[in-house]
Amino acid sequence: MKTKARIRIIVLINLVMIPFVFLLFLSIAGTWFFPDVLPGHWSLNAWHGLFLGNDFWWVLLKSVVLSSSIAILATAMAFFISRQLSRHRYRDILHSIAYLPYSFSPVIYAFCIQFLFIRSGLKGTYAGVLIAQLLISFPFVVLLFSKHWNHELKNQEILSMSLGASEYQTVVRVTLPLTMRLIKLSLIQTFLISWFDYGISLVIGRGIAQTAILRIYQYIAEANIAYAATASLVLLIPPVMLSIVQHKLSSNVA
Amino acid sequence: MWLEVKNISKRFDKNEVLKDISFSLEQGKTLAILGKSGCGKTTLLKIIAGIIPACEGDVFHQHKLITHLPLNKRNIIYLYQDALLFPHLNVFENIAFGLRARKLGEEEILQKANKLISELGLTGYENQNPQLLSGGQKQRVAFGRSLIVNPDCMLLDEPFSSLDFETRTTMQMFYKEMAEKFNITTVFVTHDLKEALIMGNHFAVMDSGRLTFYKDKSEFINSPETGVMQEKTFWDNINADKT
Amino acid sequence: MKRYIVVLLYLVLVLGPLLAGVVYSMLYSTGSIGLLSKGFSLVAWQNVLTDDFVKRSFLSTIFVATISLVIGVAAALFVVLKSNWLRRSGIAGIMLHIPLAFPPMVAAFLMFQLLYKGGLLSRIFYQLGLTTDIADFPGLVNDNLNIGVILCMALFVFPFFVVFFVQKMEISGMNRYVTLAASLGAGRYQTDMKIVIPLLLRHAWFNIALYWLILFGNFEIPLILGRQHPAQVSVLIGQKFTKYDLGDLPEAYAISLLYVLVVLVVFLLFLFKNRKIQAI
Repeated sequence: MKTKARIRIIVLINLVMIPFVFLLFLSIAGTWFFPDVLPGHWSLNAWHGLFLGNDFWWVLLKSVVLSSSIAILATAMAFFISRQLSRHRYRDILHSIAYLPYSFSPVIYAFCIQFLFIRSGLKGTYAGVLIAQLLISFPFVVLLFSKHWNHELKNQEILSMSLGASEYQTVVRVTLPLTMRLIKLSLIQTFLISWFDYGISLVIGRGIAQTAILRIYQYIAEANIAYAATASLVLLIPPVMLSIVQHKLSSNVA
Repeated sequence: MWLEVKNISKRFDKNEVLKDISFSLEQGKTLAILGKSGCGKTTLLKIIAGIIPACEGDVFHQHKLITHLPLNKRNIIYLYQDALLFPHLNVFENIAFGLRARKLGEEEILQKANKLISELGLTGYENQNPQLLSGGQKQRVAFGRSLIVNPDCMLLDEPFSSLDFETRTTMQMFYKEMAEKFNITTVFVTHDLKEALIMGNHFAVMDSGRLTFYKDKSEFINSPETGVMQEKTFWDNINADKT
Repeated sequence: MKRYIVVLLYLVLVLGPLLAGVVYSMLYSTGSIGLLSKGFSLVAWQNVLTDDFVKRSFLSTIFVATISLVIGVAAALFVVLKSNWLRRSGIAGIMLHIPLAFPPMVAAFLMFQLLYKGGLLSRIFYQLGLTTDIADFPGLVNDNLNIGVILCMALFVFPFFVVFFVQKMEISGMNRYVTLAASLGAGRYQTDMKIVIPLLLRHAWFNIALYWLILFGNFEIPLILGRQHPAQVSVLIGQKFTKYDLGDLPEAYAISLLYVLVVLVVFLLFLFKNRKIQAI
């Protein structure tokens, strides 16, 4: 039985690893003529080119800063706003509205609201991309938090104040610690929403405010397969790491 | 008077939950309010604690009006049906919570909390996660967390209803001892007749938002509204059947 | 007062840009504003509503989103039902979460490299003697049937629903229902069909709707793998907006509004359905 369980896990690991192996394969495939299944020779040119002779690192760093800023801003805003919403008489309707921006295609949404960014001079800037991405990630976090503000938490806050704690002390010593797991989840999720975003970055960033995923598309469009594969692998590092953390956070709840 | 409640009324939309409620209580005494669920007893306690506002009426502590004070300035503690311990804090930190909120020195917090922990019979559990405690232990921690801030009044909303029979009896005795020792003024609401009789020095019945206050225990026992005599007759008849 | 301001701020942030976008699109599509505006006109709308390409684009996008979702969800159900050893905890749990880290762009790129005429699959077919020329391999990307898009979208949806169903199996007390059904005499197949699948789908209803909307509006996958004439709706809108011909812009806004209309109808329908489910 144990062997059977081990085999299952090994099969699962192999299945999950296939895309990564394929990406690695593409990133180091040198000359690869049809109908060869394996390339004529292997090459690290794309890895060298991308990191030594290219500004990819710089774009990557800017993407990390952008996505981290979105994560922090969206989570902080949603923490305070969703707490108030959950105590509103029409909270169900208010929460349902939060599904709307998330339901629209980011690229079409961006095209329809781009005039706001043109008028405000934010089109083609990182600030513009940040604000536009925030318009999608913020309601998403509101939804994530919506079920958290239940009676038990409210009663714990009341009890804390009843024991003499001020509103500020209650937020710091009771509400925040009890919300920490969700805050971490929210930071991860919003980071990923921004990290994966192509549509908004494309339209609002207008190619001037470059992000890692825009750069990958550029390589794909140029049929620069090895570069696209290498950049994709690097792009996947944060999401893979974060999804493992997210898995741990979710399992702790169960 | 230590605690005075004058002409409290409360309406939720058009539904009148509390109707002109008044009573007063001396220091160190326990008022047991008997009432069925939905009669408005929780609402009354929440108004006294400052959790929700009354539509009319006032609350006084030692003849001082406290109706306008926010709940963290009243020094009146409302305890929920379940212990509601802070899950992210251990037993010690749960008990020390109110002292930390008052920004006392670390030495004083240590000394006061440890003393109380020992009096509560919780020595050895200081670092325990509250989720791992038994129902009775959780209630002890909840009481300790309130007692440590030396509250002017404690409002207990069926605090033993989720406990099993044996633990419930132990906790009733335990609370009585503690209330006497710390000279705590308590308003205790329950739907359990026996519990009301055990816990109270003064008695009242609440029905459909109206409070009937009784002069003493015998008036409470003899009133048809409390159902004590009905209960007594039932047990007497059982004995008669046996003989 | 404080809560009122917060709610107002929330509505401005969430609904404000959406409404502004819709109003602007309406004005632009009717010629009321815009660089080449000559006053109110319904020409763009007439063009869009009579354009066969637009109609086919919408129908094809609806078809592709639906079929991909059906394949992805069905595959996830099948895998979860057949692999009752899958858990959210441990290595298996981590492995189930990792595919969620793939952005659609990378997934589409990999799918292209696998399925195009010179891709890995075509080479393997050739080596196995199944094809004798590069042209023999069927075009599975940028093809008329959008097979590449459908496969990629189904694979994109699949891991999410696997994790979702595994989670629901664990926390919804499904085992109790399964045991009960078995003790009432139901076989494994009957239990799956009558109890497990309906319960799982009931839990998944809202996520299915959301994923349908995500697939319906997805841009990257059809951009890389899709057919270009007519393109999927998001790509078509992208093409109209980015053309150098400014005269196309009113049509771009009109098609966007049609897209918004479809999303709103689906959104409200499923919101209503979800409320009914939650109310039960």
